[in-house]
Amino acid sequence: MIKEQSLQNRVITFFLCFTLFVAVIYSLFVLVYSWVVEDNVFNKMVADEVTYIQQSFNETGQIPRPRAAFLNLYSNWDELPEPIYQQHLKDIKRVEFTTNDKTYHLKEFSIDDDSFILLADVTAFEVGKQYFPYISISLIAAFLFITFTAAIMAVGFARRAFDPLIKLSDDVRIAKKQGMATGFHASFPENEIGYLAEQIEKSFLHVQTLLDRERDFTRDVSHELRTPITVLKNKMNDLNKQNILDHTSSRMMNDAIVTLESSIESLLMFAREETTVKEEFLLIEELERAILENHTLVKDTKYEFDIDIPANFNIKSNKDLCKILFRNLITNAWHHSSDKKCKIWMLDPNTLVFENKREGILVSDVFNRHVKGQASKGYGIGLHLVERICHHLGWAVSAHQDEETFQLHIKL
Amino acid sequence: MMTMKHTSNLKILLVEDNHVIAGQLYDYLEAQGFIIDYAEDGKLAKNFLEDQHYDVAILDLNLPDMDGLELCRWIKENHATNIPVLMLTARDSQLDKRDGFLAGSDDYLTKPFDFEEVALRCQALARRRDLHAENILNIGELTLDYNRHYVTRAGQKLSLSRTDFDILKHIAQSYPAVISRTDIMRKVWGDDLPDSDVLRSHIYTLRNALDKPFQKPLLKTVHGVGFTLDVENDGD
Repeated sequence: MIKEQSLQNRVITFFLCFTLFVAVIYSLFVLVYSWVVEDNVFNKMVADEVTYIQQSFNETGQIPRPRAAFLNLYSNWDELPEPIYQQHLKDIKRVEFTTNDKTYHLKEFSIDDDSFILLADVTAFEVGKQYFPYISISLIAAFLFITFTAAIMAVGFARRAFDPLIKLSDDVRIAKKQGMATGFHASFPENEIGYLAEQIEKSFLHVQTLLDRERDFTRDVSHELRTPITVLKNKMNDLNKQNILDHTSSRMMNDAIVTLESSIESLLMFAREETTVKEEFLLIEELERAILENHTLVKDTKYEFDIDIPANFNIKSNKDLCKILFRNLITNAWHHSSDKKCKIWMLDPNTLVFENKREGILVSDVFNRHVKGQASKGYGIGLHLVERICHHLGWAVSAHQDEETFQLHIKL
Repeated sequence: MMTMKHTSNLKILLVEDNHVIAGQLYDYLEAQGFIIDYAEDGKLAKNFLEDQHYDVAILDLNLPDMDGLELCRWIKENHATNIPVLMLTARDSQLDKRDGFLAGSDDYLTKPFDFEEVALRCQALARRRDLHAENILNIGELTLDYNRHYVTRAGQKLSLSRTDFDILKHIAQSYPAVISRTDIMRKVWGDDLPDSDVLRSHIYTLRNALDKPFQKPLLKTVHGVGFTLDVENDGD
């Protein structure tokens, strides 16, 4: 793609096209010029003969015969050969006529109020026509030579001008995959390209440092926070199994753990550069995975999902974010639906719908943190996170609900 | 012949520097019937691995004396028995997961995790390793002979088409985990996935052969999106 649109190719193409254009224009100009000169010579010959006739008449009182055999004098237009006369009637200012492979030039003049027409048959003197094949070959040869020379010059010039830029572009492409070492700019000349290389190196290394810092930070945060949450979560499971805590305390602690877990996951997710990378994947496969990887949900054998999405329906997005999104949507449906069923389907080729039955009073602002349904077993975080992820992915999300049904629409 | 190992037969090496998590996990897995050895650092883990045989090694990535990835590579390069490794870590970025799998990790579970899930994954890893070595799989009343494409339930031979056999094989190999519809289709038909009705039709014929002649169904649909074997119901 870059090769097809490269500046070097564009400059060479432009240079060649311009050379071709100039060569064609000059060739045409040479041909036209030769024809114009020839015509003017003929007109001058006729005009000279007319002057001679008029001077002779003034000196002798007789109208002489034209001095050359190819010249004929006529006293009336209708005495001229018929085709010439017909053409004259159509254009009375015309002085050059072509008929039956012959070319004529004429001039009308007056002597003592009488009009005469001097007609010259110049066919035998038309060197332009005679030499046209040779001139054409010469012009084509010159045309090819100029074009070839121009092409060589264009390639040479473009290479000299663009090679450092192409090298810079290739090196940046390699550095994008393999990383950039300090001193990247040293192999470039100390001109505008060298300056550009130096600035690219600075920016690249700066971004690399930021990304390393981001990775170290998120890794440390992940380790330092998730480890105690694991301890807390599993300790809570123990305590719940042993019924040590009363319902309110248990609920409060579970709520705090889920909030912590969800906050850490979302903060880390939004902080990471890798969540901007997109890839193509099967939508149904990730939905199924999100359901079956939810360890607690799988144990609830009475809950049913009805997925109506074509098996080969692909989407291009960030897979990790989508995993978290689908996991939250599925967990949300599981916690909120009143009949242990969730339907997932496509409203149109771009709209994914999660639908479940609901009961209780309608809840407004479902995407706000800690807003949840009256009968909900959830913690009111799921849809808040869903909206944030959708926003991050560039997808529009909207909730539609009535007395019985809750639908979540995502514009993919 | 490979039969389903009970958890009490599985010997696990747990390598984790966090004593609290290690203690909780040790107690849970031991209560489930696993035999556990615990190492708090890489050196102790290597000593255990050189002296004992384990069905699965659970590794934390942050160890005081070495990187968990280094230990994982050491296990994979030095142990002919090819012990399956379950990485247990708080590092959950794509890069970390990629590094883990490149080091030879067989599975990756990020914190915070449920101990029950750790137990299930250990079982699945141990079984997966055995499947590579054996050609006959027994789960409850069900027996599959991969070489002869031969299936019996409670000693009764079942007549299955080639595709139905492949589908049942993949469901059985995933047991006790649930395998999704798309995973089955990918494994049986490759990347050129057929319409989902094709799988539905094969599941119908598979049920007729596998469950219809018997009192209790063995093939279980989970949430309408995946399949597993209901061994607890079978023959109880």
